[in-house]
Amino acid sequence: MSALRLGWLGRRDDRARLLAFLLLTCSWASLSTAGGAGAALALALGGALSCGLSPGHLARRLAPVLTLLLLLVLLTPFWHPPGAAPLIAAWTWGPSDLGFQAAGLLALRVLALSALALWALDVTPFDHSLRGLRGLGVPLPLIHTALLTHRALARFREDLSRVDAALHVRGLSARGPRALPTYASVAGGLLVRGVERAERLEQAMRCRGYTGELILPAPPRPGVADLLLVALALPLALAWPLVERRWWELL
Amino acid sequence: MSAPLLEARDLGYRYPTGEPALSGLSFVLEEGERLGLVGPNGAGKSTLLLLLTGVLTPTEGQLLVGGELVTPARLDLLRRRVGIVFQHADDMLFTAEVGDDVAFGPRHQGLPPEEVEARVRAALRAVGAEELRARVPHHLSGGEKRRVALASALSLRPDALLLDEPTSDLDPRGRRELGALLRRLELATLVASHDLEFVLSLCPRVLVMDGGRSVACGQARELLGNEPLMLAHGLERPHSLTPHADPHHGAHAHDH
Repeated sequence: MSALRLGWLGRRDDRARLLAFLLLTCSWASLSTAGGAGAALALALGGALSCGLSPGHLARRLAPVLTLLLLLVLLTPFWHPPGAAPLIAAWTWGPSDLGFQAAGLLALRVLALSALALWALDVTPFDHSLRGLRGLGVPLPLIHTALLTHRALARFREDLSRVDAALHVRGLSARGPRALPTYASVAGGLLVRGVERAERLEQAMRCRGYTGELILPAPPRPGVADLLLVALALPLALAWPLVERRWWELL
Repeated sequence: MSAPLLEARDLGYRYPTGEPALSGLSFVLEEGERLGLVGPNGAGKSTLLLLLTGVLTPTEGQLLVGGELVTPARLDLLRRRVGIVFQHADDMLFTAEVGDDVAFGPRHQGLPPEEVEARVRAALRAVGAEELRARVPHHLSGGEKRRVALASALSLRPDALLLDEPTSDLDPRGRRELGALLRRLELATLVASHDLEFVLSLCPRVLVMDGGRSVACGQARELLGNEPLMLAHGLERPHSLTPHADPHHGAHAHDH
């Protein structure tokens, strides 16, 4: 795989990029209308696509979110807030109109925030974002843990796919009765192997001067474009909920 | 006469269970020398490398660097002068970018950013991996990972380089390139390997280990070509030192 090509956003100061997205996240967390949430989702997806993330990549990354949402979206219409009328009047129990609206809003809001996170994080290598978080004051142990967890998960996934192929060529059916115990045993073995690897990794780090404190490079001084990014995000984050709630009608 | 770069005097190590892993091991590694470390599985080669880098602490004997005794309080003597490339290059690569992995050591030595940058460039150039700088380490091929792991050891500017099974995941071309690279570096190098052809092609001197002890130390061609010695310690004479019946020249040992 070739190196990740950094676009305009990826080349920005990591702290500025994360701060800009953090502002938008705070703003979008309180989205209260389907229109506002839909527009947020469109902006996040459009932004991610314009930064070079492929539709396939976005679909793959959002698929687990959609799976998690499925149960909520299926059940929420059955929620009857005060004043909600059942969709079919003859039913005393069933999906309500407000329940459907709540389910739609919930799904759109979660998808918008997930797409925003992808837009913010997937335009640079993972450790650039960690560097930015460190610059924003996130404690070092958390950064350290995130970095090593990211690596351990990547290795676990690689190993699992190799073992999976080896099991399949030896006739294991993924739907067969032996599949679950076999995969449980494989996962256990891989976790033990992961511990051994972690020990070797620590040895290699200590040989290169690591004494328990991870030193990350100091971020460079933010440039004009970095400040511009935050300056654009701030009014957008402030204006979004106001526009969504039609503040001019409240006056 | 100056003190050897690395010197082991009756070095020994016992596992926490009390079981001996190494005992009575003595040898020297001079500046710029390439020494091969050969032996069957379980001979203690990797344990010795961990002792020589300060990851493990000897339970017997002494280890000296440039004539100075290494103690748990003076591990910096080792860390400053001895670099290691582990058997599995993956164990050394953990960041999301090759450049950061190579910069890891210099950063943890507290060097200024400009010096870190200069060292990263020089180390990647030395191993011919400049174009890999922005790549994700775990997406590299085995040979590329090996080169990057070597660069991350070289960025510390060590006087001695310890290599544990350096050819284990390399194809013939990668193996040849690694040999050429190590010759170019002109560093003191200790190569622990089962690949006796590689050791023979790179190291003028070898240390043969078995059962945690040194069983022979001397000229590589002499020891590796000694079939009874090799067989007695679970090794095989390298093919290039095997006498072949040649219809034109009679029996002789090939010299590649």
